[in-house]
Amino acid sequence: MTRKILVVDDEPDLEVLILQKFRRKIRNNDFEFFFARNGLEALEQLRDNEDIDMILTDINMPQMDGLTLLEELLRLPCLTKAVVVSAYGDMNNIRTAMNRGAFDFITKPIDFRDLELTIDKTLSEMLVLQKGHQARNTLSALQQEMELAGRLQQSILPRSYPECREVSVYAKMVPAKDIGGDFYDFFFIDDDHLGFIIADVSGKGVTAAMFMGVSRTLLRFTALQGTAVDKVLSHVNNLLCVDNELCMFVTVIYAVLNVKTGELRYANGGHTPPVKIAPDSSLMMLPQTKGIALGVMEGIEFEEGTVYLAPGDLLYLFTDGMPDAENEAHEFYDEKRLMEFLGSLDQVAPASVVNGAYKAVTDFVGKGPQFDDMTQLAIQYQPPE
Amino acid sequence: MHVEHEIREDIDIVFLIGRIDAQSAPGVNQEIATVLENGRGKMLIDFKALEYISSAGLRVLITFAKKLKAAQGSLVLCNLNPKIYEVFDVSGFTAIFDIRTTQEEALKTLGA
Repeated sequence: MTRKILVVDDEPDLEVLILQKFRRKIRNNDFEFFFARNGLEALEQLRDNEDIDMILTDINMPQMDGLTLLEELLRLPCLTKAVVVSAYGDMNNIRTAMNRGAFDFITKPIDFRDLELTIDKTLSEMLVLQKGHQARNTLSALQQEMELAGRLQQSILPRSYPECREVSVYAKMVPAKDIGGDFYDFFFIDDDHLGFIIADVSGKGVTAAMFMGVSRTLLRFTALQGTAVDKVLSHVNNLLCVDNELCMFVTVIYAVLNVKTGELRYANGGHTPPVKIAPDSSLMMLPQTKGIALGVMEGIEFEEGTVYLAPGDLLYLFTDGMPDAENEAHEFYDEKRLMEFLGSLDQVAPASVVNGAYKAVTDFVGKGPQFDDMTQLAIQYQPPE
Repeated sequence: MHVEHEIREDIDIVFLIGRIDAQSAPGVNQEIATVLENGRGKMLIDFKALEYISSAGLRVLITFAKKLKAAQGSLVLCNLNPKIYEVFDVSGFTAIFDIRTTQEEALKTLGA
């Protein structure tokens, strides 16, 4: 790689000397030299050649001297380092130059062996700086990608709750730092049937976010056809298995509540079942039904479970980010604590359950980082008398 | 997180040590891929020293289960701790993977 060196000196002899002493390196394309007669010309050269690696500059020059040039360099965004050539014993100017960011100095008359060593040292330092700068840019690009994944995830979630006097719905999804791919969804299939979903995509980042988008769309579309809950999962599972080289999978619960009768039909794809909370805070985790996570293997059959909700019953769905939350002592919050919390509620209502549980888990976690998305969906059945 | 490897007759025994999460999953993927490349299609994965596995880790396992199946090979898992077994159970993976309690049992299944 050819390193580019800008030499700034009003003496034309220096140019001749440099071209001669470094002729081998120039011929081998190791070095390429640029020349300027004063500070102003130097700044022009820097503008015309953005990739100059280092500057060798004299101090006393007309128009703009070396010390002023150093000041100007501090104002520019470039990383280029400068070495000053000063008169022997001129400590004042040398100190000023170092204070203005000069990397090193050599004295006149120039010892070309010393100059070569100094140039090599400066170029090595520049390489380290340039690599660091590149790494920072890559990191910045990755952070932007994460932000995009986060926005994608937010845009997939429903924006408003269903307007229906028989049900009250509340949901909360708090993404982990690296976007874990959880989502929830709810929609009316017809006037009497509310369909709802909670899901957890394997993995993190942009890939999880995209798989999440695909899963959510397939599920919603198939569900809106009014298909039976178990068939919705088997159908979507088969679709997700196609072209799934990355072996991504999603755990899901899909349920349909008949808001006129309180009948709930549900099917489960490898997810923790929902918990039914009665108005007196007694709990029941719905029976597990046959099924596995979607996207792993084609032809899987799922099972439909049925349960009746009594007036005031609240159905609580969550993803493993809740029980898997860890505190600084590496203890898990665990399902046991979550159940204890749910069984001790003062008020059984969607918003208070969800916000309360979230607070309980975050209090437990304290300063520990959040590894996984924490998602909850609460649906309360409240038919009018 | 690291992976250790032993060969017994024609079976590759892979020990998972530590935790598999989104960070360490790619590394584990690489190491098991290497074992697979040099192996003879019979793999036993021992979970005795594994504390935790996230969905990223499960994905890695599914990938190898599929590869081995496609190559007419066999994969058996053993020594899963109760918490990890539960993760496999809830997500339904107990139906997809051949899971045995002890290493002895697992080796017998693979024909040792």
